[in-house]
Amino acid sequence: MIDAWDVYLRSTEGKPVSESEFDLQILPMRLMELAKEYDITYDPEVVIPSDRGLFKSVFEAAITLLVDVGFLNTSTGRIIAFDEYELRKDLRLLPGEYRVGEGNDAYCVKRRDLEDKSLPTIVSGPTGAPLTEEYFIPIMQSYAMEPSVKEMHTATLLTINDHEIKSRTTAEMMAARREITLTREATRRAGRPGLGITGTMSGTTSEAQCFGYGPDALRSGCDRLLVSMLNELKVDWDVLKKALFAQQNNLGIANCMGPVLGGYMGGPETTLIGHTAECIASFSLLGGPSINHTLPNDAATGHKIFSENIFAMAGTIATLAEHTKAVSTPYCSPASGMATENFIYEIAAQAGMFAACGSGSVLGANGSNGAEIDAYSGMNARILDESLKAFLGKSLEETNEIVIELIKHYGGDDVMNYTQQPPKRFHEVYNLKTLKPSNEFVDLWENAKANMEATTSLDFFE
Amino acid sequence: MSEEALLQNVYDSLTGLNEAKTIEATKECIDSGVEPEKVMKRLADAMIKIGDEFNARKLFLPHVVIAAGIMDKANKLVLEVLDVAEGAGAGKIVIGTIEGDIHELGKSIVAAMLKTAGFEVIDLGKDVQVKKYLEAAVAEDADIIACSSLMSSTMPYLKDVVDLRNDMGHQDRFKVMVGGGPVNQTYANQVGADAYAEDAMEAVKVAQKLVSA
Ligand code: B12
Repeated sequence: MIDAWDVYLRSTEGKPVSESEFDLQILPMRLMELAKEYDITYDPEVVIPSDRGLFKSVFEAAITLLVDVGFLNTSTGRIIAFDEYELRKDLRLLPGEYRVGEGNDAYCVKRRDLEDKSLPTIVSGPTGAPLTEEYFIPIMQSYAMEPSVKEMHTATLLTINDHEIKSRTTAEMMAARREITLTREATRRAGRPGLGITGTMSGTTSEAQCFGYGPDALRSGCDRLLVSMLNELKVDWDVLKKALFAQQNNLGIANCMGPVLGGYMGGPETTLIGHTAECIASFSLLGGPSINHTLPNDAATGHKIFSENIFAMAGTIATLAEHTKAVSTPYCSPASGMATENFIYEIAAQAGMFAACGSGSVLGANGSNGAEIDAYSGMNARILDESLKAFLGKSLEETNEIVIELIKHYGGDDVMNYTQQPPKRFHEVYNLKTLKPSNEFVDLWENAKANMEATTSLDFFE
Repeated sequence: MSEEALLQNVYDSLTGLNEAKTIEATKECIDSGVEPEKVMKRLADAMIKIGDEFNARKLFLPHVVIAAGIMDKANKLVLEVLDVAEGAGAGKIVIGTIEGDIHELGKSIVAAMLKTAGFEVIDLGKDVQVKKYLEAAVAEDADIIACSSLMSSTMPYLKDVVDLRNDMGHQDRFKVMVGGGPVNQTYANQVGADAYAEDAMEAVKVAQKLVSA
């Protein structure tokens, strides 16, 4: 990674560029040129690409983009420039794994190859979605009770002491700390006190998010701080402060990106190049060994489950797996709500992509794009785990065929007519005393599995 | 050239995102005595087409923002001829993403669509302090203050905007319109906002209603 002091110097001494010029001209123009130059195209019949030549082209185009365009530090309005040699060197030095947790719950998350036969690790929780104070522990506990879950990802506390949590106040600092201590309590109740935790989500500023680190909260050498970059190819002091804080406190770093499709990075081909580039740069700028990344959000609808979005994500994950030692840790994020039929199909389609393209671990699943309140549960992790398992051993080509079927089933091939199914809430589908899913929810899953077995070559029951 | 050919030129140049040609075609219309209203209507039609293509993913955000900028300039030329105050047809809006929040994309789409509907839009950017909205609205003599919030922890600032406006005694002067992922009509009512819209297309309709009310 680039030394933090060097990042500071580049941020303050780099070439000045206005944000609008960067967003509207520099980045989109270069992306379009590179897609042409490297002949990177999208074919709706190929949602999960398998062409190794494509992955090589995307990798080289992404490196070229970073060298030619760089990253914009929006706080200084200056470009952080990269040198090709340093980018390639940083990739070579990646460890290919990261460790979390302690004691009996310590775990090593490893990178995977294309079509790898090993199961991706599940890192679970509502991944940033808002939870009420009443349901925070029960919902987190329901995730921790799933044996497949090897690390927890926190949620956003909706209120604290029954008060709204206001950004920039001490309330958001307290909320960030409490979100972690409540998650720890949930893991204790599930009998897994040493599970690693990735957070924080309740605070918006770097000082609030970093305040999640402390006694009984995020711990050095055990847990991870989420460090979100800005879209697209941008950072600011707040982002860099978090990375520095975690580096110097020996706290794990989860580099995080949420690209947008149809925004400044354009369509599926150019988003594929741009997103791969930001993932590569995240190692040099932030220093974490893994990448938490969401599927590209659709600029018009906010959903991530369309064919083009899956293509751009699949291509990114596969390129990273083929050409780097990165641990890709994508978010599984259905647009439809928990305990609906489409929710299950949307998770399964994403699981196929993650399994075949070489993700090291998978985060989630949440539901409703992570925007609804208390609409998440441990069953989401179970559905994700069993779906990942059903895809293991399938080639990229076979996975493509199945994923296309699943996408058609939930309507993800038709952007204009897709409808999001509203969620069931936790208390509607879980027994609040035993924290076990209702028979109705389990049956919904069993029936969906039987259906997918009947209509695709997936096998859930071996 | 026939009137229809001149207007078609305006339409084609704008949908082709060509600023110089759009301005030239607009001037040609004016010089040839085409009614200004017809030119504005054709510019608006072109923007509707661009909006549709954005929704259908044939065009992307940079195209929409660039087109909205071109449209803005062309509209101003036409308005000069009409000899009316700038934006008098639609209204003036200050817009921004609320304090503490850097989620900008939705706000930028809404701003672009409002521009295309003929509003004069002053985009304050992201992480906009509550008092900045009011300062800008006063300085610009705006009709509407539009605030975007994407997080539960920044939504409370929406209420602060409404409260500050009321404390300043400006409830009749500026309408407050709110939106963004987690915001809904119930929340908008709760904080005393004058209007809420679910997406950019609806935001245009709602803003038009607010201004004509
Ligand atoms: C992209 C994204 C980011 C990007 C933002 C980049 C950018 N420049 O905009 C980055 C990576 C920087 C980011 C950062 C963070 N994010 Co974020 N992010 C998202 C995501 C995935 C998509 C948002 C988006 O752009 N949607 C697409 C646009 C088009 O939709 P939209 O904004 O809703 O706008 C439409 C309508 O709402 C409406 N509209 C919008 N504004 C307005 C205004 C008016 C006046 C009107 C009338 C209408 C209107 O019209 C628009 C067009 O149709 C959402 C999840 C989601 N699906 O919403 C999370 C989400 C909003 N983020 C979340 C979180 C937690 C964060 C972080 C705190 C993460 C962290 N730990 O660092 C930081 C916050 C930093 C900060 N201080 O703001 C949470 C919020 C949870 C909560 N508290 O409520 C969400 C819900 C995801 C999740 N579950 O974790 N994020």
